[in-house]
Amino acid sequence: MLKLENVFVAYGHIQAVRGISLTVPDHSVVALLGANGAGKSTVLRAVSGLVKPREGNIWYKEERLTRLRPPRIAALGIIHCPEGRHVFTDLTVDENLIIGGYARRDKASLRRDRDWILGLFPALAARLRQRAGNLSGGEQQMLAIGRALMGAPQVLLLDEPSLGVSPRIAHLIAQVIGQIRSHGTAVLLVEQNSAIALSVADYAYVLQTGQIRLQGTAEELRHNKEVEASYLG
Amino acid sequence: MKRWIYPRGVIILAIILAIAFPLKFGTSYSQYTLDLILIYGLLAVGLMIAVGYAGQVSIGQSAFMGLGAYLATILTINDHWSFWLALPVAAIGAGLFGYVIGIPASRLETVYFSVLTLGLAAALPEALIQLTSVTNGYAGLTPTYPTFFGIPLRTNASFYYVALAILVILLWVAHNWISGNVGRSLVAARESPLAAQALGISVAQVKALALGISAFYAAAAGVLLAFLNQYVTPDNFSVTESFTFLAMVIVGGMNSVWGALIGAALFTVLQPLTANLQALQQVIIGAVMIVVMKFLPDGLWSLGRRTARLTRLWGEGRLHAER
Amino acid sequence: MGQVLETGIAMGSLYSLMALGMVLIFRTTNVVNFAQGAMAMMSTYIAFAFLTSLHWPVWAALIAAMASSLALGALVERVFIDHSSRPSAPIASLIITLGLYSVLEGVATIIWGANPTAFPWTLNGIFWHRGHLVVSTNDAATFAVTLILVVGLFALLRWTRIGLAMRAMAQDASTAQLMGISLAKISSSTWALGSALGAVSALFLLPITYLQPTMMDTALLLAFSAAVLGGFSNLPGTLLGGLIVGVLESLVGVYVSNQLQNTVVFALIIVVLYLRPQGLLGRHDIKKV
Ligand SMILES: Nc1ncnc2c1ncn2[C@@H]1O[C@H](COP(=O)(O)OP(=O)(O)O)[C@@H](O)[C@H]1O
Ligand SMILES: [Mg+2]
Repeated sequence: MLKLENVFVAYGHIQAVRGISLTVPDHSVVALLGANGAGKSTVLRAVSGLVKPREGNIWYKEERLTRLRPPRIAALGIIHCPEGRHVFTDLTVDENLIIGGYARRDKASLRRDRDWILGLFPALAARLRQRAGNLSGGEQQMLAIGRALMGAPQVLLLDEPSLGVSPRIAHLIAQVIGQIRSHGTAVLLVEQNSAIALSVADYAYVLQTGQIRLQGTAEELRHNKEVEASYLG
Repeated sequence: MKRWIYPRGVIILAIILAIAFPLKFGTSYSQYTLDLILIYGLLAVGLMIAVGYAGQVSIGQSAFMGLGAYLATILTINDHWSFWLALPVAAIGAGLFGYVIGIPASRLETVYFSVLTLGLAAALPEALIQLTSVTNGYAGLTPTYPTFFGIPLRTNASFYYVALAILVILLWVAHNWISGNVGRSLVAARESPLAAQALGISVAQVKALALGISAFYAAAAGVLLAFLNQYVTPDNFSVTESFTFLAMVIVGGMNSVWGALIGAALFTVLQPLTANLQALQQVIIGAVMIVVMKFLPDGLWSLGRRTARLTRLWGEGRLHAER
Repeated sequence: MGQVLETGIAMGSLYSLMALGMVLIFRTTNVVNFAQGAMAMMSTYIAFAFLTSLHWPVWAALIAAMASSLALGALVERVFIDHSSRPSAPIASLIITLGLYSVLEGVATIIWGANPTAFPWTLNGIFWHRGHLVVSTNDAATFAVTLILVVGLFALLRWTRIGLAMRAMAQDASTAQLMGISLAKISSSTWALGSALGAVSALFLLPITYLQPTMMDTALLLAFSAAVLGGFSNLPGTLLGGLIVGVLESLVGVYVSNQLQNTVVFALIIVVLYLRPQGLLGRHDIKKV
């Protein structure tokens, strides 16, 4: 279980996250919704260690993440798939997947995961030898998710996977998120597209200017007109 | 923003220096050291603009200095130009040269700039030696004394006034550049190239301009050095000189005119102490660059300023609030 | 003419090795190592010290030199390089490597003196000749070692875990961390590797430069121009650049003057920056300021 307690993050004078507490239980998909600039990505960056909170704690099981550097956090199985894909464009698709499994040593389980991932995204299987930079936006997003899955995440931090991809691919990604959960991985899903996020999430938090304004089960929030009207869009 | 108290501070300093030192030291060796401080101060101020304002680390100042020195010397010997004409022509010539070679490198990452200027610094002494017909090769050249209304300026003290006057004028020019459009563009280009571009500032051009300005100052300093020493040889302008110049600027403070002057003074005064131990000097200069960059990136000047502020606050009993 | 080319290619191989080390370090850690030559010089002096003071056998002294160059690279990275993302970090690091250059040369002069010394062990003799074309044993060994190191380097980057991590870090360090890559480890490994490439180059240059504190000054500049020809990022371009620079140096030395190397190199840098700033084989998407 991943747990944030009263986390504050600032970039210089900009207070991006102001006192957030949230929980991602094992085997669940938790959505983090909010408009552009609400602080969603910053929350994920704080969890994966790319930024250090000014205040508050982040726990995974018994481990306090706030003290660890990003590679250590990744090795614990908390894998951050960043916004804007950030695939290594100069590396091949295959190399991107290999580097996703960088922290792991067990060849057999790596091979198993790789087969599973290529099954989830057959489009990647056909392009293993190509430079990742030559892939389409949707394919790069699949690769970014596949690369993150190669790290055998216990918790997957997924930042706006539907951003800039076609509705068809967004739908595919939503399905894959379901499969990732059934695989035993918890997902903290950041989205501006609340319809997609709420269709796969169990629970959701709505963020505005760095604070949580609303939370509830996906079911509740789906029927809450306020969500769309006041906080998103 | 970097503001330095220009006119008042400099004028007062200039008057004190002008009156006090030549009277006290006459034509002694100390007078020569003072002359050198003014000359290296001039060079350091120019380099400070390139390093501190444009973020371009030039290792080529020795070459620009040499270029200025040789140009002016040759113009006065071969073409019988007056010193007063040769000085600006040589400085502007070297400045233009700096600008032109700076253009392509300024479009790229800072490393190119440093590599290019290192190449220049390595090439110049060699080229001077090869061009024996104009430069007299290893043997060097002797420029004629500058005259002032027909009076030859032969003493270190009389030369001191020339150097001081030129330093004051060029500090004033630097002040105008820094506090004007050039300075603002440079700071904008350094702090946020994309935003600067959006404001219509050509980042590459202002950076090349900064190299041009620094070359101009180095060349002016080179002309003064040549006439002070009454002698130029290719040896005076080796790459190691450039390292010393960088160290001056870094130690004093990369962002301030006063810092550059302090650094120049410090190294000029200390230089004779290790003159017989060139290797030790190399070690000290390198170590100083490393230590200052690691522990005091804004140089001694910032330390002075910080201490002044802390003492003031302490005096006012506000130290706690400030922290 | 054939001989001029042979010499040029042999020298060029060594400039390529130096340059490959610098470009590797620059791509991965964003620092230009102006101390590359001085660090390599130190390693050859260490070999010298092991040979003459401790009377180690040649092979052991050479291994000691290589080990010390790896260690020196990693040490310099650990102690001196600014890893913060401050905008001034690259400039601070650049100035620090310049300072290090000065310190190392000074220290070597204080310990061993400024006079050129012959290295007590050389690869003498002629490896192969036909007509006027002579390939000395030193040149033959240079070719062989360069070939092995270049192939090895490319294989390392292509097929090994650490090589892949270096390439990932070069491209996007922040994302690389998210893959569990420790930037600190990769960064010091890269410096160690780059430093060792420089040391090999210095060892083979010894018959020409002799052992002296400034032995690598010219090589540093020539390696820099090789790196510029490679656009400071492209490794095959850098390799090619080194060879071109070596041949050019050799041609100028024979047909123009052997006192104009630096001037020619400077002219070459200027011309390349005006005409092909992205390097010989570089794509157009170079990083710009
Ligand atoms: N690297 C940064 N430096 C400064 N401010 C930043 C940085 N990244 C994000 N911010 C600011 O922090 C706030 C939250 O950003 P972010 O977490 O990216 O929001 P979201 O992902 O919800 O769009 C915004 O106001 C943004 O401008
Ligand atoms: Mg975001």
